Amino acid sequence: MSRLLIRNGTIIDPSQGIHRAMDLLVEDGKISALKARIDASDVEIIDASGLHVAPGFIDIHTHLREPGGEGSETIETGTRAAAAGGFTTIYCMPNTTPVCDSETGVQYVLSRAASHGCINVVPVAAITKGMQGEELTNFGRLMNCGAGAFSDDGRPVMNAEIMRRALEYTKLLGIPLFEHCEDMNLTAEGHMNEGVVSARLGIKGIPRVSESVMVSRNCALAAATGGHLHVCHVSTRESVDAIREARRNGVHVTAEVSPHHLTMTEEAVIGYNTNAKMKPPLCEKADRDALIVALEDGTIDCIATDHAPHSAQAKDNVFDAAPFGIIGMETAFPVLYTSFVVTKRWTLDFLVEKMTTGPARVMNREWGTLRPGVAADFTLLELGKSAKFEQRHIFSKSKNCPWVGATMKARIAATFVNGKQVFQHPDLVAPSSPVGDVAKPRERKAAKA
Amino acid sequence: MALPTKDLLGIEGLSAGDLTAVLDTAKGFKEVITRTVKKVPVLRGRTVVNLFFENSTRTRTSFELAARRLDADVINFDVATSSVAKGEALLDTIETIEALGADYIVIRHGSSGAPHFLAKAVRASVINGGDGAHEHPTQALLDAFTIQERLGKIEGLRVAIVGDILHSRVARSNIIALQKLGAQIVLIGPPSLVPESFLAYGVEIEHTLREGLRDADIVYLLRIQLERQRKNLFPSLDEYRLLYGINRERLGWAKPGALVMHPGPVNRGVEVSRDVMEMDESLITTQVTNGVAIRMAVFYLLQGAREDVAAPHT
Repeated sequence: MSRLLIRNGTIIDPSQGIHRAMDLLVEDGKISALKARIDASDVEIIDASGLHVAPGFIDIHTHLREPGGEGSETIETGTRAAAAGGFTTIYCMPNTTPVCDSETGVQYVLSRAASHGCINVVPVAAITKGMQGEELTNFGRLMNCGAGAFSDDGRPVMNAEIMRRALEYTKLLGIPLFEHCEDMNLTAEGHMNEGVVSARLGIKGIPRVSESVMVSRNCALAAATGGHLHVCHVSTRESVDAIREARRNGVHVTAEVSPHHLTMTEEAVIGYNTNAKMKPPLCEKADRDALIVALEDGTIDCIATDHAPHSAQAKDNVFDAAPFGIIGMETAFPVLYTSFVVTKRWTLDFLVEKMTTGPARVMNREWGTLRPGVAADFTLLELGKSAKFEQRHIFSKSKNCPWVGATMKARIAATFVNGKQVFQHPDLVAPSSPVGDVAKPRERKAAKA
Repeated sequence: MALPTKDLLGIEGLSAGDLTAVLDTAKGFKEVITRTVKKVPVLRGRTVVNLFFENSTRTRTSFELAARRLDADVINFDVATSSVAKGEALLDTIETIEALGADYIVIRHGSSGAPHFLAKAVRASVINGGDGAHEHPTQALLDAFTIQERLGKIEGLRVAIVGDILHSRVARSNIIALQKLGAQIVLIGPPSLVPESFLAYGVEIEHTLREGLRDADIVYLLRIQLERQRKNLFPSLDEYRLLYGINRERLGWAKPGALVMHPGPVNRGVEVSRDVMEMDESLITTQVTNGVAIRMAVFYLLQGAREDVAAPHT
């Protein structure tokens, strides 16, 4: 029996209301004890003095690009990036090539994750075949082979009748629809939030109602059907209002918000910064403030990164030709800790909850906890010390990150999945000799391809 | 005298002093181009590349003439581009231009910010010849020059800009330039083409022509693009003419003697009637002449390729 003892760390586990110094014992990949002091023999000891020990984070919105987009990310590099961000379970969106809309597609992701991934990967399957918005996929069969949710992320379901049927049908399965809410007619060829900044830069804007009309429509459909609607990456105050109203009326609506929408505004685009180009677009300060309040009052359930890798070649371009999206898994916790916990707006417990039990509750799963008996998925956090986040800290195959060069006050020291260490911060001394496979930085290619 | 930056990417970022410096310099060059021998060899041995991703014979010719009158070597690079490949074409072209030894690159591109992207990648001085719906700085400079030349001042004037403000780089550059030089701006057009976000510039907005033209010293008309009609931003050219077209009678709604300007090319009988164009108050052809003088001044005041500026892309 393999035994691992995490000693002298500060345990932070919102699922049990724990925030104090405790020891954590792992046996055969499961948490077996959590006590003030554990003495055990024949055990490997990790000294977590000065570190916090949190349940592994859960990200229900990522893009791993495999199959079809291996130039910008693979399941191998994407899960390493996740581990480097303290995540131990992630959901990956189906907008790959081909679209993940078949049992083969779901099985492919799962098999690649098993052979090349270092953390838990849950495939999200498409709502409609080919994400064409016309014909529902085989929800039941896809779920049976491992799909964790359904989404046409990036190509919203424009047809209300299809959305209605999808919501209706998923009631049978007890699984949410992750909906990217955007009216593509309103968005047209917009590239950033429509407003003062877009006017000044001469960039075609995306009107804010493009999101909120679809949030309102989908909330109405969720109300009519009783299905579970999960609103992806909420970005505007009007959308927040629509979700709050629906929840007040007992509609089964959950929602997520991204670290970038919580910390950045449209001003970041000035200078034609393509790492500030994403969908939904960065909005105004009043939107950002509304999102923060919505997360605090429970209108929004959790944080999700919308990790969207794009190659340097694609992003190093004129603004309107560059693709939407930024990576976010490595930086999610450090950025939010620095922006909200250091400034004392949030407690550490609140932030960890929104990255663990928050997403777990959306998925109705018993994850994101250090309760004895569950898989030993956890992360060690170094908090309070200033460190510059550099490109070499990115494990994703793509480097489209707006925070390169930023100083952050938190680092992910190490990450464990099933009791095996899957990440060790390259600048921090390993607490003990690592067990299992440690994710290494991607090898540099000698020359550009 | 020189401009403080390597490039001329927009009016934003220039001071009123910089603008005045360009106008003063252009005055000298205007004198040059009205002589029999219209050349001064201040750019002899230097190379100007006109990099046009959008067709514009007028603007390209104006830059070309300005460069030739300063005795520069001129290369015209007309890059046909589809909307799909617009970013790639720019990246591909940059290396070629650097290899040609360009000292100045004039770029016109359909993407806002393309000159900024180019400027970061090359040693040459980049001059924005119009980028997307962002800026067209030399147009604004020549417009300011034309007003200054005719009225002797810009400060205190009321300038009405009429038309598709939303998609107009000419409007943006003119708003910023004329405000910096002390003019008051009112924007006129339907709400779909003159959104409230423009209030952030500190301008006034009027949606009816008669209201907007009141007390205007300058009536500046923008070209209306038929493609906007296809996107339902206005119903038809005919309706546009009916609501915003300028004729002799409507010009009377502005201050007596108000001047009429247009960056060209004019949709005759839509934005402006033929008889107004022929009035002494129309500065439309003077604008074209002054364009050459202004562009000469811009070349003269920018340093051209610098040895001390490393080009990151090479």
